[in-house]
Amino acid sequence: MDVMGWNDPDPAEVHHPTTDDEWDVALRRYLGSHYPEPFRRCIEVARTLGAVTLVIETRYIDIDYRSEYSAYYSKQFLDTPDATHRLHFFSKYLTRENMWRLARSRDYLGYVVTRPISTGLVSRALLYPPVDLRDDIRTSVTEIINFFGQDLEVTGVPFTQQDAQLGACAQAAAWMCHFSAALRGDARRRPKADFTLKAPISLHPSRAVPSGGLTALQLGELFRTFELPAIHYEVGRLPSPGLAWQQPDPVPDPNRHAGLWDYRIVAIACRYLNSGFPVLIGTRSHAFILCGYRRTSRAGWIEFIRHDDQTGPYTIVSDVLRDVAPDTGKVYGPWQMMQVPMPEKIWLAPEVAELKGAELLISLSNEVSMAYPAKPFLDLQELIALDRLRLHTYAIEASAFKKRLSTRGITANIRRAYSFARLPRYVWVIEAIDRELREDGKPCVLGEAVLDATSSDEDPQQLAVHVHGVLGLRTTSGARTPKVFGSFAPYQSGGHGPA
Amino acid sequence: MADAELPEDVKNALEAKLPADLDELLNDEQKSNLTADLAKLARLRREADVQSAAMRMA
Repeated sequence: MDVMGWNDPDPAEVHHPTTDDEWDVALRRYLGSHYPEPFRRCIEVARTLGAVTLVIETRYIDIDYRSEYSAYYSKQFLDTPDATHRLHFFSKYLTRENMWRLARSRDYLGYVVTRPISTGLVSRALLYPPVDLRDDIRTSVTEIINFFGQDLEVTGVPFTQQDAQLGACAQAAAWMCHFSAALRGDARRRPKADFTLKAPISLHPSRAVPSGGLTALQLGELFRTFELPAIHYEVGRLPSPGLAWQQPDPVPDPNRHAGLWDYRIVAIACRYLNSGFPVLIGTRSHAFILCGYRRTSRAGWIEFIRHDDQTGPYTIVSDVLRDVAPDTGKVYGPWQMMQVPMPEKIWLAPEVAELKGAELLISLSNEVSMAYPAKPFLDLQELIALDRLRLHTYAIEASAFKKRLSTRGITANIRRAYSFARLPRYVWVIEAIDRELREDGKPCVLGEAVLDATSSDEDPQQLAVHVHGVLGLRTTSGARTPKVFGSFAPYQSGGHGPA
Repeated sequence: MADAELPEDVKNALEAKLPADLDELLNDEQKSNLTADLAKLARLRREADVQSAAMRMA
């Protein structure tokens, strides 16, 4: 990797590469790093998005690299540049002469910030997801960046590569979760070095710098002090709602690693991804994040989408119980733990919310069914008998839940009642889904239970139950309110991504 | 969407029958089972929390 003349030219280089060779020429300064895969994948994503202009903004002062430089690189004997490059990708042909006035968000594909460090080139990146994955990415956030005086918007999942010196994979994974939260407005921005320096050293058997990674306890403590306390799961001991009609819990196999048989990983991860929260996964010796999932043509099968700091953004996890990267053959090994950093006041666990929400939905559905024997729809018990009932669970800010109602095909009576309802900042929503309608790509939500995210796992509190066009709401005063009647026609999901 | 609405007599019957307190949608047996299941989930959570101490990720 060549860092001679790193800060030149001032202020930028402009390229219009079209072939592999032309891209190599444009990116020649970055070739030869120790771990080139993440950068290579970032470029691949930008190219699949249709990048025709590459602008390399030199001497970009990146808050993350600056923090690493201050904490570590400035103290080395080796002379290391103190600034980064920011590579911008556009789908429009821009020139050095017009780019200061003609750059537009609609043409902007995102950026990659590169460090002058051969062990970890990608300081951070935010790129739109590849088109074939765009609907399946559930934790996208939007950042506004300034490009030579023009504000440009990019939406995607933040990515970083460890530098393998001050930080390791755990710090990278934690940063990806945390920067996403900062862009959501859920936490204050923290520079990258803090993910090593602020980790409590007493919870690790070795020195903090150079970093040998983080323990799960250190990660938990970091997230707690960074305003985003994480919920921790150990694979093999994962909770599930245990509803009689759902897939039964796996039988533990003491002779095999739990990550090879505990398929409850899927449901746990999906509930958080539906909420827009990245999920941090720990294997025996590595960490990465999940940022989306998609259903496949294989019945009931889900593929996750991951950001792995060692391979790059937006790659596929085709089998969670036998995790081998389909394109590179990299063997990840069995998953061992999951951590989900979340806004503090989501206290109620999702599996608990799902258990109670499902019970209430089925009970209300039974009542409607008994009152309406000639009903022109299937009730939830009938859907269970046909193996068509599924649940779709997510946390959401109550204000966002109310706001999205108007786009989901829900009748005005129900929208009005929800809009006037007093709700806490966050709620858990448990949607009853008709699997067949979902598979046909039609509106598939039959109803939802809404639970108070600040209530206790021991005593979860329901705020609303709505199914087959009947809505019951709890008031904060305890006053009896009339039921609200709307349409029993299915409607769209309100979670992140398709149901 | 008007044709996807419940008939008036069904609405009246439901208005009369459904409890004001959503908790009362569940009968005593369901509530008892739910309490036991919730306690089990809480126990699992506590066990997972104390198992995590030694895990390290490079």
